[in-house]
Amino acid sequence: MLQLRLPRVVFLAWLFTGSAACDEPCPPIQQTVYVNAPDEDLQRLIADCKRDGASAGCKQDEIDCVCRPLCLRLLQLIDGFEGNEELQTCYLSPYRAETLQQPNENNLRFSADAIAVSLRYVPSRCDVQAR
Amino acid sequence: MREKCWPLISSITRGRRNRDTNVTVSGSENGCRSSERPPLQLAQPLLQSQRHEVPMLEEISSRRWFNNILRSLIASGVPLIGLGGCDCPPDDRLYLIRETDESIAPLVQACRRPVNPDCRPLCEFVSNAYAIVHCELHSDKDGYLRVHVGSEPSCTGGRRPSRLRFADGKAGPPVAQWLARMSQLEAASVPAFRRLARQLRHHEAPLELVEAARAAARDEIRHARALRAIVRSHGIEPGVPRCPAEPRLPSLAQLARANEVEGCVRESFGALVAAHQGAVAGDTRVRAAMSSIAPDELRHATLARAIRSWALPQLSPRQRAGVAQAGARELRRLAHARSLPEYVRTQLGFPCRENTRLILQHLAEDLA
Repeated sequence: MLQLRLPRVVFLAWLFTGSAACDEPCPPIQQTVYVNAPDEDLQRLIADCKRDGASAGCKQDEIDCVCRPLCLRLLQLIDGFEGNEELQTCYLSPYRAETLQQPNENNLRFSADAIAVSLRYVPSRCDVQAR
Repeated sequence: MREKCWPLISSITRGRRNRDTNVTVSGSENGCRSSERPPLQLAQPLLQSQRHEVPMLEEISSRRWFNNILRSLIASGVPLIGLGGCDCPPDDRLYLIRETDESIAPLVQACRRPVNPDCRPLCEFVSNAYAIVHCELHSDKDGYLRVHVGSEPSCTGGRRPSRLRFADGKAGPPVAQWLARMSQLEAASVPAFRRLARQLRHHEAPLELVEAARAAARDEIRHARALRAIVRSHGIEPGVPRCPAEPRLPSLAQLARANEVEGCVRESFGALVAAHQGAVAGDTRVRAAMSSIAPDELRHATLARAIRSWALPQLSPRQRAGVAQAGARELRRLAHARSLPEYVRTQLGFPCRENTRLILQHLAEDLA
């Protein structure tokens, strides 16, 4: 009896943990991306995003937000994932206006056109870190 | 040049109120910008808070501890800037650097050395963070050098109850997320003070202390409401922390230890932070809220010292040493746990770094 039950218990445990692991989304990653001296492509995307104001950002469910192309490009640059990551939120911080007008010794040695973007996304794979 | 807010503090500790005081700064250091120097209002809430309603608290500790710290800071020319706290959203940053100059190139080389690579100077350089918990130079991508820096952030709030569990952070702008965590900390302080009142009563503390703890719980309800309203105005829900009940009442030694950490260290520290936020936060709603919160926090810190003065004489030397060690550990933790995204820091009015260490040092001397 015990011999019959044991494999069944193991199978059920495997089914439970295995299927849960497959279905469960990865925990979202919240990162702030700072870009020093963005290239022309990024500069254009930043300009588009800033058109609606320095604090513009993409909230959840605002798929067509003006900042989305910038956010997706940044995600492409920062992530080391192979699949498609789900962008949840993306905000452009007025980093330049707030911090770079008066750079100092300890501040980031970034150029005047540096930007900071706050991203939150769900990675397509949970077992790797952005690289 | 240092930011010079010390003449301001000096005039305040002497009890003068000079509304024309405008401290000029010709430069900045320690990651501070001249525009964030605190105006006179910085200490006005502190002055107001010095009118204690509980006579015993005045007798036991009064405001001397606070003035002593301020005096020490003034003596060492330390401006009241550079504070943080704890338990805030994690700070994970990725720096994409396309142009490297002579200052960064050797740091990159040191990080890429095949033998004994050292990436920390690079991470410290680009991030200005010093509570770094993750530092990695990723492979280049599309001409960008990618530096990944994770640091342990911090924010202040009220007294935390034991077994506190924060609600998950909601998606939203970083400032709102930080505010949400601050609001949760304030909300968690309500049961913390209620429990404290019960514990004090159980250990037959003077009624004034019990009543002061209850009053503090009422203060924290106001604080939590004020911050929740601000969080909601940012478009997110702040979340409600969970504070499961304690299985049993703590011993007097346990109470004293928790009071040392949560009250004498964290609330003293938090009172200074709140005062600073009330004066300089870029977000006007935060500034207004913290202006009213700061005097309460100072009163709570004073209550903690009064509890300390009552409890310590009843403990054995070994227990007293344990209390002191717990406080010292928390001070060290606060000194290391501090790093904020710059925009968040200025919006919420957290002071700039470096002087945290000095202020905590003075706090440590005061508690010793």
